[in-house]
Amino acid sequence: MSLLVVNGLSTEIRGRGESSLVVRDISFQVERGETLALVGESGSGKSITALSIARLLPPAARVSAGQIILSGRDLMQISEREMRDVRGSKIAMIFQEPMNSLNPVLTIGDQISECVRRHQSITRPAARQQSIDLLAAVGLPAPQRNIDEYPHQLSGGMRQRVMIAIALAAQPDLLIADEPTTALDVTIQAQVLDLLKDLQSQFNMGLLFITHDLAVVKQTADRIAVMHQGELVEQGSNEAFFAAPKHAYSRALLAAIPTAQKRLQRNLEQDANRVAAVRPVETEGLAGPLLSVRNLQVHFPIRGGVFRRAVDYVRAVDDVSFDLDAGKTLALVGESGCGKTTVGKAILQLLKSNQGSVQFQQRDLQTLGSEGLRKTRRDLQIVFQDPYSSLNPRMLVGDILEEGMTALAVLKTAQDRKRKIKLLLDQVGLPADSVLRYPHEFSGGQRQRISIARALAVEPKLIVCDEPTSALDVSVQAQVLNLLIDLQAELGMSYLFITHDMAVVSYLADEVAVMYQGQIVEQGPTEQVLLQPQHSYTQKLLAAVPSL
Amino acid sequence: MSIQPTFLITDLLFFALTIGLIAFVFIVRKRPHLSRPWSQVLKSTTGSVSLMILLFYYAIALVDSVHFHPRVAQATESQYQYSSEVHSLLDVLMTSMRSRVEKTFSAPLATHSFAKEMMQDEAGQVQHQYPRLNYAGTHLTQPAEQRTTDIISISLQASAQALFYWALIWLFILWLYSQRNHQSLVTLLVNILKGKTEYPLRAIAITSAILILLTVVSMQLGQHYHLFGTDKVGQDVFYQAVKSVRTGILIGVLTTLITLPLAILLGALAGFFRGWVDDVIQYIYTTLNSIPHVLLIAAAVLLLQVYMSGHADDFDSLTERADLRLLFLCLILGITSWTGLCRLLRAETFKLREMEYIQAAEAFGVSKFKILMRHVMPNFMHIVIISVVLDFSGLVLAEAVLSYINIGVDPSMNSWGNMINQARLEMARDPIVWWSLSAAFVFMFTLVLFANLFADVVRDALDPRVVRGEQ
Repeated sequence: MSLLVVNGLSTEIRGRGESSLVVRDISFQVERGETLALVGESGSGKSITALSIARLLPPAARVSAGQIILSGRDLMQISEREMRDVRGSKIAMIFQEPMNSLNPVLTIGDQISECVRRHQSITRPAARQQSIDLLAAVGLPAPQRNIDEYPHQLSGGMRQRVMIAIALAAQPDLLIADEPTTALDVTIQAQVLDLLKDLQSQFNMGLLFITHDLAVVKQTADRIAVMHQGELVEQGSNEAFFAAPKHAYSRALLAAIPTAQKRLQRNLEQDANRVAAVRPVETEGLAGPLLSVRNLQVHFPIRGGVFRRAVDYVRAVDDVSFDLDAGKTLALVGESGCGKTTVGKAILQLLKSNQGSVQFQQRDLQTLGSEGLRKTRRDLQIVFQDPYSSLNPRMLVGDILEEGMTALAVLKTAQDRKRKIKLLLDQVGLPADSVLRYPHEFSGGQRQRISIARALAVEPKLIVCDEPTSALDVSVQAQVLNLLIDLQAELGMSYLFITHDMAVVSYLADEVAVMYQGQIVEQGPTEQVLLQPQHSYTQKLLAAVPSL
Repeated sequence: MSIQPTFLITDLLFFALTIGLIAFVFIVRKRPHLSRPWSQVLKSTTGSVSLMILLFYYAIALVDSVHFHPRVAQATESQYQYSSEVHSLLDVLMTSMRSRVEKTFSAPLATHSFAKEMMQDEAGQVQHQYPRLNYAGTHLTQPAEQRTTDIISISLQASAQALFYWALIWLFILWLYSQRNHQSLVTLLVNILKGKTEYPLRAIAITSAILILLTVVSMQLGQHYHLFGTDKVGQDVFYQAVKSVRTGILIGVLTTLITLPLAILLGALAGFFRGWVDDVIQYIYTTLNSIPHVLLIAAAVLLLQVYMSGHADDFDSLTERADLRLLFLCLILGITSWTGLCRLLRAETFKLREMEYIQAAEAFGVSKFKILMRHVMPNFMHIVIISVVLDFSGLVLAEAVLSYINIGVDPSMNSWGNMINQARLEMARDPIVWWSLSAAFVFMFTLVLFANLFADVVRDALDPRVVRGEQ
């Protein structure tokens, strides 16, 4: 008998007046010791499915039909009181955000032993000992010390380990992991995934693994279920799925993942398409590179004492140098906190650097003065990560696109600007009537197109792309990446592409610079760095990336 | 000219504010992202009903703000003599209630005075009796028997009249509405009765019926009786309570007018520029906050009084003096109450400053001032509106409290606080004189209640944390 049987589950969310079905008639099973990966893009209903199983749906949502049978017991039929016992002792959950899942005012030990004591009647010291054992089991470096620490004293990966320890405290039969590694860096993700696998075989649990990342799925899952718009479109074993996905959506999902091979393929197709098209890269007789950064240092002061004097500095960027040629893409790769975004902002002079020089077309941006800098701003633009906070919600899209042109006096007359806006919207593939709409009317991918159009409006020579696709679904990410590549081929500008995603790097970068703790540890042509990494950190980083 | 218009300072400010509000409505209507939450407010029954009642109060205050000197006598052909008294349009509408002053207390709708007097009857004997009132119920020959029937008949007549007006107005509105929406009048009526219209027209219709009914009945009864009785010097209490509406509303809105620029400007500057600008602004408001507000207000009002008694010639009339004091009170209340909003806005600007669209604007070289105006302020305006509506009722109540301890508006000015203050001395009488207090309470309670209800609806509609679930 299966551990978990979900039979014809439908969940609806009630809005004003009408209700909509977000999960439609899905059925699947999870066996003991098996990992089922529930894969889908945002809004496909995978998290709602998990919450339905644990009966933790928000007030507006309701299971409208179906059975959820755990070890022979229908969870829909039992009382909330009985359900509370099931949660924790039979089902445990791990969530995406390790920051929000732990109570910041209780020690780690308090939070674990609370769970331990709820499900076993043992004394406090015994519970403490068991908590320490659990922390050791999930691989915390010093469980004896960690148990008395508070969540803020631990890193993101360690917090996720604590969450896993709490989930394991009652030795559940079924572990539901809802995007447990999405908020983590890739090296830590690899560790957490390994840990989950070990623990699963050790405790012989069923694991329902919810994720959007197909590469992670390939590494961890025994069986795969693909969700699309609330429906389960395909189910099958890991090998069978990746060998030959049956459903069209699954194939589209796989096709959307950027890889180096796809890049080559695409280039070939494009070259075939426009044989005569000459890439308009204008070097204008410039001898050197478009952008050259030398010994850049950005330090953030740590203030302390009565007069808030700087007592120490965080060396966010420590001695970074690189060159970027016109029409090329340099990817700046690194994990969170390595200083890659700070480099981007320092180049745009949005942050003051402490030392070093940023030379753009042979002119040092730091010594230009405010007027000279204003003129150069035309050539330097930025596209941000978060499609929701990068557009002013109170402005019309037309006004957003016009702002840069007015501020930098690119086009003098209103009519010229209108024409330009129309052209821009066309270039990024948005309808012309978007001008009179507000950002909230667009999806994440469309908003990112607006951001790109805003940057293009002043005809820059260099665009700093700060993780422009990391907040997007994989299929939308592919569209935005292709748009960026097409625009580069058409307009010939350079990209400084800041990212943590190796797949994206291999898809569009000409050169790669790997950053680690504020420094560039390795730099070179994409293929060389990805295939023959020299530095130990690059090797470690590449080894941690789950591959398809 | 039979009148000479005068404009008190508060009148001008009030008119300016009204024009500003109308302009705001027009601006909001043009922009979908701004008008969406407001149409949500209007679509809620509570929201539109409380807005109607607030507007009714506002209209009374507006009518009461049109001031003039009435003409008393014609001196020569071309020269008129004007009274030194200042009257408002509302005074004209309520002339009968304003001018008919009794000797002293009388209960609501009474025909006889509240206090006994020595009187000579027809036989020439001196008796200790309740005298008839000079102006109330004078048309009755047998007041004891006739009074109740008379009041009922006046009320019924007035009600019929009111309902007639109401039906007329609504027929016209519905006709217009059906023309615009290409709907037949009958289906529209059925929809309204069933409550199936987009906006809560049924509730609006009922509220307007109640408002018109109350207005007409009280005006008609006021012609023959003192609806809420009279006070110690025989003045009509209903008239006083209505006149107090302007004072209450003015305190509420003018104070806001003074708070807003301070709070918005300083809050935005502190949050945006940080560093020493932030330090200076923080020091100012923490210092201001640590002075007890009542002390500050008392000191300021005393200062003004000293100034006014020293410059008595500068003021044409008592009304002008009272008006200046009201303005000064608003000013000092405003100065003491901007800090809360300023703190909120500073925190919000801190947050907004880190938004990527502001950095994008910086990357375009947009000037700091423009970034503040275009990217920061519009994005915290919802907080401003919510706190303005929430603070309004608090300010109305503050006036009552301040007048109660004699540092509020001028004693000659009608205000609920003054009414309560004067009535408090009569609370110990037996039988109790309850009507002044009750009238002030009912009027103030209605205003504050609906202002609070409205504030709740506005907050629900504008607060992004609440709206998010809907998107």
